[in-house]
Amino acid sequence: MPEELTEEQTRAAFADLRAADLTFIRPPGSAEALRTVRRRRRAGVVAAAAGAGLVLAGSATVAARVDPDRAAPAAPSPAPSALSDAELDRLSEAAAAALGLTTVDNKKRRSQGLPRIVSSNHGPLRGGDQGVAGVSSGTNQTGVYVVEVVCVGTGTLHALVWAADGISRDRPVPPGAADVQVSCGDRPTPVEVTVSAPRPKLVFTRIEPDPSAIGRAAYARLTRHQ
Amino acid sequence: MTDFDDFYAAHYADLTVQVHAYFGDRHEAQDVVQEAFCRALARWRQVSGYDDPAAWVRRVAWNLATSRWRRLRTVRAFHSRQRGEPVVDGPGPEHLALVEALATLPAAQRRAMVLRYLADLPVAEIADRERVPEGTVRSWLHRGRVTLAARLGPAYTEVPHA
Repeated sequence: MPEELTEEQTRAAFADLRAADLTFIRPPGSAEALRTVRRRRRAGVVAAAAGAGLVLAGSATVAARVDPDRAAPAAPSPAPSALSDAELDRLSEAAAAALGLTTVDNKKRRSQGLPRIVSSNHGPLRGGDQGVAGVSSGTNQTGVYVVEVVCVGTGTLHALVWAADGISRDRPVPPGAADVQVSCGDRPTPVEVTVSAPRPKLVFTRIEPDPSAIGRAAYARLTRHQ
Repeated sequence: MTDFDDFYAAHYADLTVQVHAYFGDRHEAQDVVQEAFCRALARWRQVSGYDDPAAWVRRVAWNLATSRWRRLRTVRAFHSRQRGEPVVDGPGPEHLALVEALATLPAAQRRAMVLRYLADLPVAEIADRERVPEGTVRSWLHRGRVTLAARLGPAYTEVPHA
């Protein structure tokens, strides 16, 4: 083993870390930041009004005047047929279980002759795409990976899978990406996509629910050695 | 507000990765980065005029994380004394060897490694931020790479496939 990581090795290691981390990061969103700031401003105004000895009605009026949220149309709420958060969480756990993600023990898998799982994630399908996950493994000599996707609930989703340079900040879906449709159900069969991504390339996946699945289904995804 | 939306979308994930790599807790990292963006939004007219608004958010997130980490350390020490037993974190959902290896580095080296290899800052900028000569930063990076080589083992030091 060398005494010092080379510049290239260090960059590759951090690129791997970044790619693996992005698998798990779910940005709360700029809209959530806006709500937080507005809530704080509202609280600040109400507190200031109370401190000045205004009656409650007066402070409410002040708060209403400074809160642009009040005049804005309400944020779209889930469709009436959308499931509750608790139900979606239950579907999410079921999807994870369908891929065997309840507990991932790669040492045990190795002893059983099963391929190493590099990364995974799962969650309710709430709208838009579910983010891009990029991952690779320093132990995969063949560079061939299998992505498994399952959807529990109703509707369908699209799983886009491709290999690309992990350093790239922008991750547009390339024209040659595999695009498979995954049907949701109570006991769905996982869909598998095989992709070749020899280092330093990473395997990228993007989960895009169809409108019929939003708020009514959950997905799970794993990337493993072949 | 569109420019804030774009700014958020462009930087949230990367800043979270950087804070996670430095502090070792992804959930805390997500929280403090979101809080830093909230503070940026609250004074967006001012922050958006800076040369590098992302650097401002990173600094705020970093400071918040430092404060939280100190507070958490105090709370854990208190609980440990009260219960007479160590408080041990449960295993995370995944194992990131590099984050664990980074945690063994002294703070200055860890900061330099994260800023150099995740934030992609030039050595001169790190030196300016840390208020040390560039040679000191190069030394930190060298020592950081030596420690990581020892900690990470052959998986990270193998030659990448063509």
